[in-house]
Amino acid sequence: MSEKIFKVAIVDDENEILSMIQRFLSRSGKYNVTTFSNPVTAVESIDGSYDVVLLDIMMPQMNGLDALEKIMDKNPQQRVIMMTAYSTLDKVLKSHKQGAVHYLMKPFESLQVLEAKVYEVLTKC
Amino acid sequence: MIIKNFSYKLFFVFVALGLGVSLFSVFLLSYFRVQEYFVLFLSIFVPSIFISAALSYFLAKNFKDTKNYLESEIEILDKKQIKEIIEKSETIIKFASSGIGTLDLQGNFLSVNDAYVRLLGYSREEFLQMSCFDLSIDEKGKELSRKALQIAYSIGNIYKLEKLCSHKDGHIVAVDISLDLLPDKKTFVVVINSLEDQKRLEDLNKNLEIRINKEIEKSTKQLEAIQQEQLRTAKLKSIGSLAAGITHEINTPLTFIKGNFEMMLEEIKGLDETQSKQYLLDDAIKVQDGIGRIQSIVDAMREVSSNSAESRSDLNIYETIITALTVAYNRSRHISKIYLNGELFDTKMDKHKYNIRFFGQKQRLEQVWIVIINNALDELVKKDDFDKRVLAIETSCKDDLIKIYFKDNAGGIDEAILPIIFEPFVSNKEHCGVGVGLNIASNIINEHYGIIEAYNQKDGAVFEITLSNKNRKMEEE
Repeated sequence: MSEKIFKVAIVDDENEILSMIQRFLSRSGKYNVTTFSNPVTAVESIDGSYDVVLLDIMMPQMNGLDALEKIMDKNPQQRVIMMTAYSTLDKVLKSHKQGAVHYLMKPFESLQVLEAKVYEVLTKC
Repeated sequence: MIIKNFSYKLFFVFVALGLGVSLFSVFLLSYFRVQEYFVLFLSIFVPSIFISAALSYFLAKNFKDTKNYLESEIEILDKKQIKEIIEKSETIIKFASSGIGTLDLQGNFLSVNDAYVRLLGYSREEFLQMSCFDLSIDEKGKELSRKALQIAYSIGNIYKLEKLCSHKDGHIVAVDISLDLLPDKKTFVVVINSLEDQKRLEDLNKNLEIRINKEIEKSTKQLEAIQQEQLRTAKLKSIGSLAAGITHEINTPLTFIKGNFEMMLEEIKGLDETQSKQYLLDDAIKVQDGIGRIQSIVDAMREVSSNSAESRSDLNIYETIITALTVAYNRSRHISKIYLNGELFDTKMDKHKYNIRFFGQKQRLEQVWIVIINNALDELVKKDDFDKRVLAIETSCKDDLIKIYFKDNAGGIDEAILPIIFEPFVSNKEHCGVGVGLNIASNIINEHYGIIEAYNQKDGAVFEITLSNKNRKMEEE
């Protein structure tokens, strides 16, 4: 019996970060990663088909919190992990209230930890 | 009208007669052609005589009346004014705070005011039986009084002669005396003031001056403190904005540097064992260390700058701890059980179960709790058995004194660094952290006029925080 491949969407305006996470998660073969450098396109494209969304908070085109709200409006069951390099407690708490299940601080502790968190969210939340 | 008795009717009758005779003579001249000299006599001299007589009589009479009237009026006014002046002077003398009296040329009292009586204790009647020499305490004093009278008589006055007088009850009163000889050269006016009163007044003035200076100093300090606070807030705000921008800009490339380096390191590790591989691994450790340091500095900068300019508000300490625990929950739930006031922490806990009011910066205090919680988690994770890891947080509030305890059972803080745990760049951690978290926490607590202490107890570390609204009010005063 083949192992399930999770569909992961990553939304970040930094292409280097997108490609890095995509490369790391794809290595194991457990994830099918789609990246979005524009949150507006991401909000339009993300439907209920993604198992988890990694969403950056600070983006020029659209604030991550606004994007989260739109994503959750479309699919309240959507699992979203927030990513932020500009951490303020209020933003983290706000995203938690809006339905985000987890948050990751940039720079990540390590990509392995990131993968572990993603996997944990996918399997336990 | 001042001239009340003037007779206008009679005056006009005489004038009319004069004018009538004049007109009659003109009529005779023109109609009957009477002799010229006779007409001239009738027309000019007869009326003139009448009119002059009338004027002389009445003016003389009425000047006399006017003079009499004015004199009587002035007399009335003078008497009234003099009476008023005397009354006023008497009142002033009676209620004057200085002792005022009059002496004859031999020094016998002719009169004294109330202050004189109060100052030396004798009654007014007793004074009138005494001379100024009777108040001297000894012969020397009497001689001094005699000389003073002589000088005052010869030059007209003598001012502020300091002298000791005998009070009726026997005690000695230090006074200063001034003497003035009145124009009649028969009476002295004597004015005395107690030197004790003067001293007391001087002391009062001195104290008042000290108090005013203190108040000015206090106001100046308060103003300076307000200005410094405003300046500090403005500085922190601008530094905060700058640091936030820098933090974001550094963190973004740092994220992909760190991540890519992690993958690169794995790839290096997968290479065949060669000398080059070993060099690469050695260099990688140095690079990794550098990346770690950059990250720690950026984190510290973010913590120092963020929200330090946050305004203070009335908050519930218990609620801030719940918020901090909620933020740390993603991590803490895998590391250790956390108890808050004996209750196992859960994100659904009631934030208002305890109401511990404090006036402070909400987010900064939350940062303090997060720093302490994360530090505890860093140590607790080293313990093998999850079930044996415990972080207990306790709060209490009694008599405006708020206490918060964070107690873990992770083995405690190294005794060597315990005394300097709140100093910057001191860390208990071997592989991570630059040791600024607790320094920041300490600064935040200090800025809230609180105390933060760390000590070891049983099998772990305790962080004890004391906050008080009273301390803040006292500091502000």
